[in-house]
This record gives sequence, C-alpha cells and structure tokens, in this order.
Amino acid sequence: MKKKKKLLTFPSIIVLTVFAILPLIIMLVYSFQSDSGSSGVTLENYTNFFLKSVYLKLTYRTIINSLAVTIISLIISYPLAYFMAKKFKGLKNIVMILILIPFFTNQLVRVYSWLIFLQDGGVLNSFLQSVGLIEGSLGILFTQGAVVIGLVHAFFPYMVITIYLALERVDNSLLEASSSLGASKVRTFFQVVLPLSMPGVVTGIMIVFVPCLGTFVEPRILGGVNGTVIGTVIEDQFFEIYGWNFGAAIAFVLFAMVIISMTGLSRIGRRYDNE
Amino acid sequence: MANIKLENLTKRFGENTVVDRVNIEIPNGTLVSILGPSGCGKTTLLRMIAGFETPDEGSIFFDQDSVVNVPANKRNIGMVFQSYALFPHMTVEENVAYGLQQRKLSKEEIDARVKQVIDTVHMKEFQKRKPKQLSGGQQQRVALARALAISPRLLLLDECLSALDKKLRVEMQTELRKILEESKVTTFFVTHDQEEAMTLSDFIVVMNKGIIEQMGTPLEVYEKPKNKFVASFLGKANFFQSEDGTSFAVRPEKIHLSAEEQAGARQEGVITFITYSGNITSYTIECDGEAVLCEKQNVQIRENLKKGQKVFLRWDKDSEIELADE
Amino acid sequence: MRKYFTDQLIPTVYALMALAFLYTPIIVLMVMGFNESRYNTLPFSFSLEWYSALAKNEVLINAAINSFVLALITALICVVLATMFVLGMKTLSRSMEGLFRSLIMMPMSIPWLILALSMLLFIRFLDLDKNMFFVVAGHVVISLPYAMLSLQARIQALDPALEEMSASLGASALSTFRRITVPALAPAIVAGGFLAFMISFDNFAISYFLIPAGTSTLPIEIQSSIKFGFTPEINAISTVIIGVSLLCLAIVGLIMGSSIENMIGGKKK
Repeated sequence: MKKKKKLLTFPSIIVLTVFAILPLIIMLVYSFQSDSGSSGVTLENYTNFFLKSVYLKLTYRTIINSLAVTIISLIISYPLAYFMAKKFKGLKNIVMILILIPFFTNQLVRVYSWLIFLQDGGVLNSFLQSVGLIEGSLGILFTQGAVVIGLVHAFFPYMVITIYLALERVDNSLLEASSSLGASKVRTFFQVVLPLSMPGVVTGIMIVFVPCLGTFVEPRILGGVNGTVIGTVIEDQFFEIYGWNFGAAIAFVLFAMVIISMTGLSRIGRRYDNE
Repeated sequence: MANIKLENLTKRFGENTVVDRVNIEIPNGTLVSILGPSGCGKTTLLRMIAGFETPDEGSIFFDQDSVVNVPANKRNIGMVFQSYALFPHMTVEENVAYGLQQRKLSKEEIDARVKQVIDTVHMKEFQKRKPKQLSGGQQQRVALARALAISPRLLLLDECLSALDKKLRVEMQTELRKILEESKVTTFFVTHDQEEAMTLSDFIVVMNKGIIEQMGTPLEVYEKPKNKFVASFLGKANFFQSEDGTSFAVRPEKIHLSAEEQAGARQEGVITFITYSGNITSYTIECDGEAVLCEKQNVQIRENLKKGQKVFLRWDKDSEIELADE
Repeated sequence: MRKYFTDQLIPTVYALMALAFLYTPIIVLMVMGFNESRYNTLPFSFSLEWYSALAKNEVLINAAINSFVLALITALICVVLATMFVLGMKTLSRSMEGLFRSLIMMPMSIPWLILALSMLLFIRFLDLDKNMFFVVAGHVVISLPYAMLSLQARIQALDPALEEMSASLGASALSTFRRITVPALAPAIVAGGFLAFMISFDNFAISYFLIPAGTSTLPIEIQSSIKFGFTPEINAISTVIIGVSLLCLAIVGLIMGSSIENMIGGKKK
C-alpha cells in the first residue's frame, strides 16, 4: 500500500526531470560548443562573453536595473505592508484583494498599458502639459526609466505580500511589551518590528530581484533600443543572429547570477529566521 | 513602587461596558489578584493600568500622579504577558536588558542589573539562549526578569501561568510569590484560577461583568463571600434557604456526615455519588431533591459510607455564610 | 488628533497612492479602447470601432482560442499531477520529500526565458521540429508549482485524524479516499487548476520560443502587434481578457471562499 502510494509522486518528478533538468543539461553542453561549426568542446562562448566590454556592460546594467526595481519596490511595499498589517482593520482585506487582482491580468497587457500611458502625446503627457508641469513631449518611453517603472509595477505586489505576511506574524503583544519597557514607537519599530519582519523582506527581495534579471519582454517593449539587457541579448541570439551556442552560454551566465543571488539571499534570510 | 488608586474607571467597547466604575486603592507593595471568569473585564482593567487602552471615564493614580494621559512607555510599569511576548530575535540577556537600554544607563549599570535579575529568577545558565530554546517555565522566568529589571513602580501579570502544565504551575506560584515578596513591588495579577489567586496574593478583587463583586484578603473572600457569585466562583458552595426566606451558603468541607441520627442534624439525605481523590473524599447527597456536596478530609482510613446509604448532615451555625439578596 | 493622522490618514493616503500606481495605466488602457483616436491619445471621443474591428479579427480570435485550449489542457494535466503528488508525498522519507518538492518548485525561481531556451535546444538535440507537445510540456513545467502550492497548503491543513477516523468507522481505503480526502481537497484542486490555467494563459516566454510556425497564442499576437504597429484593438482585447479574468476570479473566489487567500498567504493558524 505504502509503496503503491509512493508511485503517485513519480509522474511529476519524471515530467520535471525530462522537460526541465535534462534540457538544462543539454543547454550546458551546447554552451561549450562553437557556433562556427567546428566540433569539440570549447570555452570560446564564455571567453567571448567575459572579454567583450559590451557584454560586461550589459550585465552590469541588468544588475543595476534589477537593483533599482528591487529598491523602489521595497520603498513602496514596506510602508504599505506595515499599514495593512498594523493600522488598517476592515480596510485590510479590500486593499489586499486590490493588490492581488492585477496578478490575474495578463502581464503583456500590463506592459502594454504602460506603453500607451507613457508614450509621447499619451495620457500622462497630456495631463502634465495641461497642469503646466512640462512643455512639449515627455520623452520617458524607450528609456531605462520606463523599463524600471514597468518592472516595479509588475513585481512590487509580490513584495507587499511577503512583507505583509511577515509583519502579520509579529504579535502585537511584542509591541506592547516593548512599549511597557519604555521604548518609543520609533525604537520599537527599529528594534522589534523591523528585525522580525526581515525574513519577509528578504523573501520579497528574492521574489523581485531574481525574476528581474531574466526579463526580456518588458525591456524590449518599454525600453526600445535603450532597453537592451542580458535577456534581450539572449533572445536576439536565438531569433535574429542564430548564435545558439553563444546564446546558451549567456543563458548559463544568467542562470549562474540567479543561483548566486538566490543562495546569497537565502543565507541572509536564514540569519533572521527565529522559528 | 507606589500606591495605586483607580477611581471610577470605565471602559466601553461600542454598546458594551466592559469595565464599569471600578474603584480600588492599593497600598504600596501589595500583591493583588484580579479574579473573575473570562470576559469579566479583568484584562481590560489591566490594559488600562498599563496604558494600552484609554479609559472612557475615571482616573488612575500612581501615588499622587494621574497617569491617564501618560503613554504606556512612560509609565514605568513591568508587564508579563499571557504569551510572555519575549522578543524571539534576542537572547535571554538581551531581552532582560531591553528595558534598561531605553533608560540611558551606562553599559556597566545595565550589565550589573541584568546579571542580578537573571540570578533572581535562576536563569543564569540560559542567558545566552534564544526564547525558542527554552521551556515554557523558563520563558516565564525570563518574562518576569525582563519586567522586574526596570525596577517598575507597578508589576502587571496577565494570566501568566495559565500556559504551564498543572505541576509546573503550582511550583511557579510559590516561587513567584517568593520573588515578588523579595522585590517588594506592588503587583496586579490577573487570573481566572481561584487557587492561584489565593496562593499568590494578599488581596483579591473579584470581578464579574465589569464590576467589582467583592474585595478583601483571601480569607475574607473565601470565608465571608458577599453573594452567590463570589461564593460559587471561589471554591465550592452549597446554597440553602432559611425559614425566614434569606439564603445562605455552606462550604462542602464544613458539613459533617454521619450514618446515625444525631442531635443538631440539619438535613438528611441519600448518598448518590462518591469520588475519592486521595486527600479528600467528596460525597453528593440528595436532600429533598437538591444535591448537596460534602467533602471529608481523609484523616483516617476511609469511612464506611456507601452509595445509596442514608446520612445525616450537620454544620455549625457560624459556618453559614449569609448572602446578600440577588 | 495626532493619532488619527498617523494611524488613519497617512496610511490611507499611502495605500491610495500605491493603488493608483497599480491601476492608473490599466484603467487608461481600458478607457482608450473606447476612444476614437488610433494612437491612444486624448481628446476622448467615445467609439466602439475597435471592438467591432476586434470582432472581425480572426487572427486574434484564433489565437485566443488556442490560448484557452492550451491553458485548459495544461491546467488539467497540472491538477492531476499535483494531486497524485501530494497524495503520495506523505509516504516519502523527509529528505526525499524535500528534494522532490524543491525539484517541482524550481521553475518558479528560474527565469522562464532560460527554461524556454533549454527546451528549444532539447528539441534541436532530439532533431525534432517544434511541436505542440513540447509547448504543453513547457507550460506544465512552469504551471505545476502553482497548482502544487495550492494543494500542499490544503493537504498540510488536512487533519490526518479525519482519514483515521473514517477508517476506524469501518470505511475502506477507497471509500475513505472518495468520501473524505477528495471532498477535502476539492477546493484546493479547483484553486490550483485556476492558478495553473492563469499562468499558462498568460505565458509568453515558453510559447514564444517553442510554438511551431503558423500557430500562435494570444500573448504572442499581442506582443507582435505591439512590435509591428499597434492599434486600440489591443486595448479592446486586453479589456476583454481583464474582464474575463476578473469574472473567473470572482467565480472561483465565491466558490472557494477564503482558500485562495489561504494558499497565497499560507497563514499559520
């Protein structure tokens, strides 16, 4: 009986092994082969990547962009999550539902909505002109700024949720205990609330920063020619340039960045884990 | 340390008056229990004293100072929460030092005080541990140490023993009493457990539905309860009507049972139920359709009273507790 | 007064600002779908021409049907796989369970771009042409973790005493499964299926890399219209998608009550 039940887990594992693990291994193998047709194992794709300043610059830009998105998301999310967990009462559920709803709308639709909102002559442009804040065109679309805005929009709700859940777990009696021991609200926040919500903050950072590294649709649409990041370079290798092996190598560099940031962040997260 | 005076203290939540015109005056250094069933307003009363709830009416005085408008963090009150509320990210030491650090003391002063208080509660060997690594009883001690460390004017304990198992709870009661007597701090102890209230306090305040039913020493409230509620909430009681229509109560241990008719017997009945619990045996006796509970200390080997047997009940006149009209 | 300021006013204003950021572009997009302007610009004059154009646009409609069928198949496969997995999960050793679970959850933390590429290279390695089988496989791989989240939360909350109780009352293993386990899991199965459906229906990266030439899905069509000159027809189809999503969300929400919140929240209570 027990043995038979164990078999139930196998189909999922087989699907994952065949369609995720195996392809990743094959991709790793491809990344060590040359695009020029010569056979045999070569490091040329990786040396190409790491020796050309243009790729290093793109890597740097990708990381900076992702960091910017993460920090802005944090600035928006922490206070919001804090207010929801500690200040709002009945309102809390409504705000939570409103934050969750966009998860269920198509991601491309959301990117597109920023495209038409930010475009020169678009609604934001007309609005800012009519209140006299700017003259002429806005010029924000097709910049890194537009990409960051679009990505923050796509990812910050995840962060609100992880931080909110961490704050919910901070028992109000701890705040009262701190107050009864003579701590002001500000000190209570920095000495009790913030440290105890750090696991949620770290998870939130992970859930925003890591996917940002691998985006390619948002930078392409909102950044235009200025939106080139690692993701779009990889896409080009497959659809425009047909340098598949080189593409595979870049994808692995990206993969390595993802793994490094995940392990780093979960290390930090574990330090705050009191459970 | 301070005299505490509550005047007309009232708190309403919407339509509900949770605490209704409470007046209490407590001299310095007294251990006071606030005893009552859940929902009687005792925790709300405590939270008003602590400063976590604002009273709708009335005032709170520490010595001569009214503290109603003083925020919780300026009241200098030590509080032990039902859940202990230990900071999970800090060690025992850090938890105990927390309140002292808010008071701009030098590091040496803090260290010395922390050491002293941790010694008082016998937690020296655990001072580097985090709360999660401690047992319930140990967490309790830390919570107490943390509250005592700030040398509070007043100590508030909110059902702080209720999470412990019975044996540990009884041990902690005695120890807590010792520590509190040594530290000479005025203490309010909220509980719904009458035994705990008796063991721990010099003075008991019995609350029900937001009002104070009775105040007094444990002896007074047990031996001379004013009404039916107090009589039945503190210990067990049998209620009788006298010929002139007034009602009175008799504690089960004050009733003498005998198999033979004797002079001065007040009631007779049939034993319907017997429970033996080591030090005492309880008998339920049916007298004129009413169940009367009677407890006998097992000083000698069990008497030969049997279920179904006819017995005679007798008690002294001064064991009768006159009750106020309901 | 000061308390009102810090406890009510500032938090409310802050939340409204965050929600405005979240919703303004989406609302603008929806409104512009009813605007005559071809370029999504003001002034506004009401028109349904983009909706009537959409109704005649067979490419978009076919793509929508493809997306729907693909998402449905993906959701069904995910639900079956996830249910089987959580039922068998308890019999595994702790370390095995951890390993298997992290394997299944892995696609949540790897950029889909990488997964899509590796599968594309896998197809090439096998010397096959792009085909729908691999599209479905890719969609299953990325949607399965979400279905699994929902079911795991539920099965962990499920009191094992219930099944034991049923057995002690004389029910056979099969009848316990049918009358206790399945009804207890049903809300999580529906919620997990819904999530998997949404993930698949929305997915661009996997489809974009793996779909055979001549076939397309709605996200692919939207992306290519954005790339090669868009018209407010995209607004119209977007509005329809948002409307249908919200409708489904509301229906699922009504049926499941709080189980979606429980699953996303994973509250410990």
